Amino acid sequence: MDVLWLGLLGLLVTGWSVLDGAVLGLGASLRRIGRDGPERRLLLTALGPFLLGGEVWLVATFGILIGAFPGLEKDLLSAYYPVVVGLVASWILRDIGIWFRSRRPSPSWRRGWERVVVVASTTMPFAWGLLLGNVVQGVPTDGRPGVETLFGPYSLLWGAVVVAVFTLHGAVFAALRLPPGHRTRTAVTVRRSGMAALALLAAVAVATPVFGAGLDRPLPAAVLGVAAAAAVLLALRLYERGRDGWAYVCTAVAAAAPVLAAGVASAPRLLDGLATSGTLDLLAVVVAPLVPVLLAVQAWMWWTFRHRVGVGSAVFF
Amino acid sequence: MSVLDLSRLQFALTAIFHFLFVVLTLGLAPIVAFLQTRWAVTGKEIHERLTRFWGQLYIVNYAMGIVVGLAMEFQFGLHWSGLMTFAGDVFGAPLATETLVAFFLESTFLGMWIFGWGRLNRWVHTTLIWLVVLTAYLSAYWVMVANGFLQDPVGHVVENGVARIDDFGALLTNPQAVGALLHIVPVCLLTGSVVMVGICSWHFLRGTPDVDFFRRSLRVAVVVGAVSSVFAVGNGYAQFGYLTDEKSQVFDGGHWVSFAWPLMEISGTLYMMIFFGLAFFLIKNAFDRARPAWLRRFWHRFYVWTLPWPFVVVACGWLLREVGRQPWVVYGELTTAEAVSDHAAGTVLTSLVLFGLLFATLAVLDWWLIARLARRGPHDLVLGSDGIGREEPEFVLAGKD
Repeated sequence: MDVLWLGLLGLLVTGWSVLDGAVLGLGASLRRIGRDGPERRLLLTALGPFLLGGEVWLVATFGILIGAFPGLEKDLLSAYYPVVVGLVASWILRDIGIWFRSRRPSPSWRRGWERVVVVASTTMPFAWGLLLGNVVQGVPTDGRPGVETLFGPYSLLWGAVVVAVFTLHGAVFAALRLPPGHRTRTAVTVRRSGMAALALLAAVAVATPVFGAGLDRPLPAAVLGVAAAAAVLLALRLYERGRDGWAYVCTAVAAAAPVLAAGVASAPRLLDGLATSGTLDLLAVVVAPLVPVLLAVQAWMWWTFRHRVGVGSAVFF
Repeated sequence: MSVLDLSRLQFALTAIFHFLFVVLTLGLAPIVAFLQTRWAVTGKEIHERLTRFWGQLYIVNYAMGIVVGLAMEFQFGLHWSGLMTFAGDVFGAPLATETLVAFFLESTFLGMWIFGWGRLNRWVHTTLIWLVVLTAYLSAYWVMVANGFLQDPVGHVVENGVARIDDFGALLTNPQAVGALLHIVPVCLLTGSVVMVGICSWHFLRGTPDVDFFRRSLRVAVVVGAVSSVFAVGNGYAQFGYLTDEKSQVFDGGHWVSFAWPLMEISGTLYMMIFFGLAFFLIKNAFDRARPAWLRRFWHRFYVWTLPWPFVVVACGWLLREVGRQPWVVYGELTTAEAVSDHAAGTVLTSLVLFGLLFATLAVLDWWLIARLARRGPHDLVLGSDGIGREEPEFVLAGKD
């Protein structure tokens, strides 16, 4: 039963990595893939329908943390306070940058908010990766780990991995959503971020035993790491052949892999923070029956906006 | 300042900034849904413009509500670990339900509503905005259940110093939650109406060419405002039925937030009188035709300049409710001093300055953008647009000409 709650947490956070990971990755390359104002507006139109529906997965993740894992929530947020504050601040700026950017015609206003989107869409995955890298090294029950752990080389490596896989995922997402004529704009970003992701995944594989991160379950985490690398390689091949949909599926696996690896590696510690059975029974009655509804509504959203942007797409951001 | 003061200040700042946007979101959403329903039924262009004009103000306001709400969700874990340790098992459940059952759906539906323009069947599209309204109010309910527990911790037992849920029904029907919600909902609608009347007045002052458009808007606003002001005031007084001793003392005066109560009472009563008066000015469109002209313009200016007032009043409501509970965080069981996390003061101060500056800057920019859209009137609307507008020098989508 307890494992089911961890499973729900995993489902929500995987949903966020896949859906908002693409929006974040695209945001990080907004000014690289889009050469000028109209091209960037096209990119924002491409990601538009998925911004609200993507980020709610992380809101829900922390909601379930508060409700079903109050002990863990408290430990995580107390221990990683500066990282969490950075994560939230960049999240706010990413959102507001996208909402504000096209609200005025002034080119300097637009350029300014585009830069905010680029920086915030890079720092947010980086902060997320830092958080994962720290969780892997053990969540303290009291107090905060030292700066040498919090922002240590191993943690920073995790930050870089998440930025790389999200950037790749976002560029492939852009290829999937842009009108056919604009698709090739993504090629350079896909290739470079793909190579960076492979190199960084390899670096984590080497660094994990070197830094002696005390993984509770190293084997499944290693399997996920290998799966992520294979998914990146496959995605690059599929992208070359113009199979954007399948390439997106592969980069989605790569985007979800870091958090899943960190999660399975430290599962016993995470379960320590579970709420008491009374609260869980209650949540099981109130929340669990609605999970299929949530998934169905999200599937409907994806189905509605499955086409590439084109004439008739609503332009808002 | 101590860590306790800094943490409380950060919480207060986040909660108030969040609510300043939420109050208008909740107030405008049902009105926009009503306007869109009329559009779906009649298919008239005027109803489409009404929906899109008020809808765009609603969603630009919504953006800030979301982002401050994000910071809000993290406050408990960041600064109030004692609360999570003692009451996390009780207090966390309604918050988790709020994010999953209400906000998750609300946000997904809203995204589909914004980008489904022209793509979805009109009845499906109209249903979406009603679903947004429903889930937004459901969200408000769950938040009030969590807050109500802090005001009057019902439905739980304390074992080994940790609270556990004992009676879920009592938690859900807590008068501190339900009573407050019955006050807050009409207050939100009243605020939405005040904002609409202010914007209509601005356009009448400028001699708007869209007379019909703003007369129709005004009618909706005045009717909603008149009805909701009665419930806002009535249900406000009704809460006296379950005041705690500490709060009664605040009402009696002498406390630094004691000013809040007379301010709410007087403002509520005045708004009730104003809206009932305004109802008479709907007859033969007297609102924009009554004479003498100088007096009419005086009142129009009054509505424009007092537009921000309800936001001051709702902030007072929260000050009274939250500061009035001190020194308790969970009334009678856990004090704020016991609940606060043991961070260094400098750490909390840094995040306070960071979030404070961020919220203040973004809030001012957001209000300015809303004002800009409101002033532009029902032309060149950004909601439901295909990207071609006065302000777009180049077309966004390929193949358009």
